[in-house]
Amino acid sequence: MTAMVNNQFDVLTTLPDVQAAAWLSDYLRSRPVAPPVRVPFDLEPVEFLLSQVHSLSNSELPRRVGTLAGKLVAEAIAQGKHRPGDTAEQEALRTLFTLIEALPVSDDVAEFLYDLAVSGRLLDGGELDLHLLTLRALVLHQRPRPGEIERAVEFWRHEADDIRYAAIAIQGLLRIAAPGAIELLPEFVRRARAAQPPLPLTNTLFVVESELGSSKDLWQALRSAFDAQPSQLTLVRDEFARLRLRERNPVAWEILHQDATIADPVGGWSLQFATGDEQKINRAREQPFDMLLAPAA
Amino acid sequence: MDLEAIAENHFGVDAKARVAAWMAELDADLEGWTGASHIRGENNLQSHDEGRQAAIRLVNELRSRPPGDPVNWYFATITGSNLACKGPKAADDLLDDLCKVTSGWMVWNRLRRRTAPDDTPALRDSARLMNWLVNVVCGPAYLDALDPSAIVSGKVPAVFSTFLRDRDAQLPAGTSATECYKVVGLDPRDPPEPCVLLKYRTSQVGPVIVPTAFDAGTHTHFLPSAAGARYGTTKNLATADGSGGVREVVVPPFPVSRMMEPEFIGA
Repeated sequence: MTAMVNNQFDVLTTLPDVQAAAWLSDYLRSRPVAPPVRVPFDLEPVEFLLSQVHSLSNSELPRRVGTLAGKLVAEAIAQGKHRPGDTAEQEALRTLFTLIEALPVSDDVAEFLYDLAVSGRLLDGGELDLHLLTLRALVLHQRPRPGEIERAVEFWRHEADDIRYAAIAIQGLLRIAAPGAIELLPEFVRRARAAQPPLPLTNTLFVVESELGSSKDLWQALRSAFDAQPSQLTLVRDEFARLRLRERNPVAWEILHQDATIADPVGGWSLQFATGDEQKINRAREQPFDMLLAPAA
Repeated sequence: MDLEAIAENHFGVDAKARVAAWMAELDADLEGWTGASHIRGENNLQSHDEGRQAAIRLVNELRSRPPGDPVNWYFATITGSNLACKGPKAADDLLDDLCKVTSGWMVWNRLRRRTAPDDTPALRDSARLMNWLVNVVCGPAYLDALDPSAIVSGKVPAVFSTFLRDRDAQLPAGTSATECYKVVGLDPRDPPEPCVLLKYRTSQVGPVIVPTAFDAGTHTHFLPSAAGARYGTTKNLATADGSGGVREVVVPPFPVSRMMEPEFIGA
C-alpha cells in the first residue's frame, strides 16, 4: 500500500487520457515532466518505470501505463512514424512496445495489437521490425473468445512457418494450446539448428518449461513428439541440462529421458484444447496476468 | 576544472560567456547542479592531452548550443562528441577482472535479443523475470539467451566498474541487492528489484580508465578523483559521512559477447 501511495507514476492515473499520454511520452524521451521524476543514474526512464509499476499486480497503474503505451503506438503508426528515416521516432516506438510487452493493457489495445499483427507485415518499418514487436506483445495480450480459438491457433501456426518469427509463435501457441505448440517443436528445433548461423534454443525452451510446469501429460506429449527425431531430442535434452531442468523439475527431466513412448498420450491436442484449456482461456481473458497457467509449486 | 578559462583561452570571451550561461542553467536544475559540481571538481582531465582535447571539444559544442534543456544537451553531447572515457589510464597494477552491479530490468531492456529471429521470453509476471535472470541469464547458456551484439553501456556511456577482487570484501556472495547497490554508490531500489552482477575481464573490454566528470554526468554519488588518482570512487552510501566507497574505474561500452557468465544477486 505504501508503495502505491508513494509511487511517482500515480500521476498517470489522475490525469485525463490525452494529458497522461503526453506526460508518458515526454517522460520516456527524458523531457521535463511535472511533477519531476528522478531516474536513477544507471537506468533508462523505461527501465525505472517498469521497476516501479511491473510488480503492482493489484493496482490500476500497470494497466494504465500499458494501455497508454498502446494508444501512443496506435497514434504513432497512424502518423507514419514507424517508417524508415526517423531513428529517434523508431526508438521511441520500440520503447513503447517494451512497456506493452511487459504490462497489462485494455481490451481496446489488445484488439489493436491483433489487428496490427494481422496487417503488420504490410507496414514498412525498415530497421524497425514492427511485425516482430507486435507478435511479441501479442503473446501475452491475445484474448481469443470461445469460437475464435481455432483461428488464433491457425494464426500462430502460420507465423511459425517463418523461422524469424517461429520462436515467438511457439510462445503464443503455448499460451492458448500447449499441445499444439509441442507438436511444432521438433520441426522448429530442426530448422533452428539447420539455420546459418544456428539459432539458439535457450529462451524458447525456458518458456516451454515455464508453461508446461508440472503437467506430466504435457511433458509426456513433448517427449513423444520427439520419438521420430532422436537427434533433435538429444539437442533438447542438452539445452534443458544447461537450464538446470534436472534440479528444478526432476519429474520433467525423468520423462524427457524415458525411452520412446506411445504417441500422443493426451489423446490429440485439439481434443484437450477444446475442453479443459478453453476454460483456461475464458478465465485468462478476464485476468490475463494472473497465474492461471503458472507451473505448480 | 575551470571550463570558462578553457573557453576563453581557446575561443575568446564569447565562448566564455556561453560556458558561464550553460553552467548557470545547470546550477538551476536539480540534476544539472550535480553535473556542474562534477565539472568544477574535475582534476584529471587536464593532466593529459586526450583529456584536454575532450574539454576543448565540449566548449566548442557549447558555442552553438541551442537554448534550454541543459541536462539532456549535456548527455547527448558527451555521447555524440565522444567525451566519455577520456581520463588518464588507471594504474597498471590494478588491472584485474571487473564487475558491475546492475538492474534486472536493464538486462531485460538492453541486453536481450531484440531483432528477428527472436526468442525472448514474454514477461507474464515478475516471477518470470526472476526465473529468466536466475536460470537463463545467470547460467551457462547466457550467450544464447542474450543478444551477443547488444552493448553494455552506461548512460553517458562509460561503464562504471568495480574490481572483482574488491567484490569479496565489499559485497560477498549472499549480500542483498540493496546492500550491493549501496556499496557501489547507487541508490537502493524501492521497491526492491532483482539485480545481476555483470563480470568481464580488462583484457576483453579495456582500457581501464580513471573516471572523470564527463563519465559521471549527473551521477549523484560520484566523488571527483584527486589529481593523479589511480582509480575513482563513489560514495559508500552505507556510511553516514559518505567518506567510504569502493574503487571504481570506467571502461568503454562493450558487447555482451565479451562478458563472462553473470551472477544473480537477488532482490
